[in-house]
Amino acid sequence: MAKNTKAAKTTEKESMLFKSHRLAFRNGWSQVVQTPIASFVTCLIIAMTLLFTTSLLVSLKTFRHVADSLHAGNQVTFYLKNDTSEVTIRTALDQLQHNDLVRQATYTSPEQALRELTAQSEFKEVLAEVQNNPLPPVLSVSFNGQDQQQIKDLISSISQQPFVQAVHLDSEWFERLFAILQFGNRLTYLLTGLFLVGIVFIISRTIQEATSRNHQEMVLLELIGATTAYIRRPFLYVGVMLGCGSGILASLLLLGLFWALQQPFNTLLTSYSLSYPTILQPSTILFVLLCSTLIGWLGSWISFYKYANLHHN
Amino acid sequence: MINFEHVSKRFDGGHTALSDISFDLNKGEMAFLTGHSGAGKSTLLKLIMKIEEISSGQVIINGKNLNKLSKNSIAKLRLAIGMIFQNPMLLPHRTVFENVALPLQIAGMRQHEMASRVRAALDKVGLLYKEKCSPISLSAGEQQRVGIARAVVNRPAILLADEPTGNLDPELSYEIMRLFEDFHRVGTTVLIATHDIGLIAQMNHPILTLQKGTLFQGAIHG
Ligand SMILES: Nc1ncnc2c1ncn2[C@@H]1O[C@H](COP(=O)(O)OP(=O)(O)OP(=O)(O)O)[C@@H](O)[C@H]1O
Ligand SMILES: [Mg+2]
Repeated sequence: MAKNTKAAKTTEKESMLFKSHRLAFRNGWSQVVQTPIASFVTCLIIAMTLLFTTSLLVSLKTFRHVADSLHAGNQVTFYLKNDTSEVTIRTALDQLQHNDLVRQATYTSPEQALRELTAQSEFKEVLAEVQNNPLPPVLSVSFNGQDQQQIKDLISSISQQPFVQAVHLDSEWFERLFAILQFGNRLTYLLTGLFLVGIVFIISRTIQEATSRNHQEMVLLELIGATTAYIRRPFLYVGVMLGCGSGILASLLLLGLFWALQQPFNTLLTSYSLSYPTILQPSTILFVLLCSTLIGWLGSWISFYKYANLHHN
Repeated sequence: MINFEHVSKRFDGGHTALSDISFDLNKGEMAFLTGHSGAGKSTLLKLIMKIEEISSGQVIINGKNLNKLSKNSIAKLRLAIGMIFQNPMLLPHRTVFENVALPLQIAGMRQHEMASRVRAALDKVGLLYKEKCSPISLSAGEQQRVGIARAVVNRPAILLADEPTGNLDPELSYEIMRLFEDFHRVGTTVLIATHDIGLIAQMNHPILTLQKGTLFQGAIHG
């Protein structure tokens, strides 16, 4: 019996909370539509900011991916000393072929190289008469381009082997590219952080206007027995609505933008015989929506906190 | 139900609005609070609602010491008290109906139950036909009555009124007092601050008289 009344009380409390949320949602919505232009402009500004940062992030991610795949095809040529024994070379080759970082490792003996050269060359006769083969044994290695640092370490460790005469790697421009990307990355994250703070500020300004518009009502509600949570709730909904609205707007703009970009991007990729799914993934859109909603909620919390401090001290 | 023990109220400016007030109003009792303008009537009512903090002493409402209430408990206390403010404090952008419905909304009442309660309350103060109006379009006396409807709509255990008949003609004032008596009769504790000595003389209820912040006469129950 006692248990029953307790359960009944809990469900009653829950339904009360639900009702108060529904009411707060309605009140919040009426706040938003009370100043339709201001609300829309707020959403638009936030959406533009989201659009800018998201497209920057997405582009950067795509570039990274492309650069990585290009780098992965990169080949390093090790010229070995002429007196290196066949056994040493075979052992080194075997080790390389079993390394996870190595995609392919091939050995070209001096004789083989000479034969190939002779076959291609215009100076067949001259080369045929060469007594001492001047060509060095060569190891050609290509890598799986995941962890650039590991690959670098591997290359340098091979270079330090006593039988290696010289290394030829044409990855310098890649390193420059990666340095630029790294810089871009840092810049983008910093900008994103700044913009997010800006968005929180914009939302909290908007909510502040709403609270001062409703100051009289909030004072009265407090006098007749509303809890702080009850008074705050509609404004949290305003923040969530503005945030979510901005997110939706930004998503639509993003979809449009990347839809327009996808075709030229694909053409570019094909020219490098690379492939990349779609630039804009559903998870990105979801992330934008989630982020903007969360930011809206945060912004309204902050402004309400400021409001409460202002009027209670 | 309402218990004051050696209560004093000093405002920040240094003005002592109430000093050493003690009285006890039992559950279901009805009493009047009178005194000259500035005697401290509104202040005393605000102490009961914890709108103002007391400076010393104790106020105990329904067994709860107001000195020890959390913020949420204060909200609960206020919801259980119907207060008619000296200026009615109606929201201009809401209809009369919506204004009266506010306490029920806070309490989380169901929509249709709410509607019938609001209409009943408006009917009691004779303003049902104005339910869709804006409070701005009402006369001062009508606004005051909307404030009364809002205070009684939640059927509070305690009813406090600060000059509820200030803007009403004698006939209507008397009717409103009868309305308060109806609540008193069904067990509501009622405390009414008023200047209207003539009106309260017609009724048989204890009178608390404040003079410059001290309880001058009619201290009930010792
Ligand atoms: N917030 C405040 N700060 C400082 N002094 C105040 C404050 N509120 C009221 N007072 C002072 O306290 C005294 C009592 O005020 P109160 O409003 O309780 O009087 P009252 O009996 O209700 O008068 P009236 O009949 O005119 O409404 C007055 O002298 C007033 O100036
Ligand atoms: Mg007063």
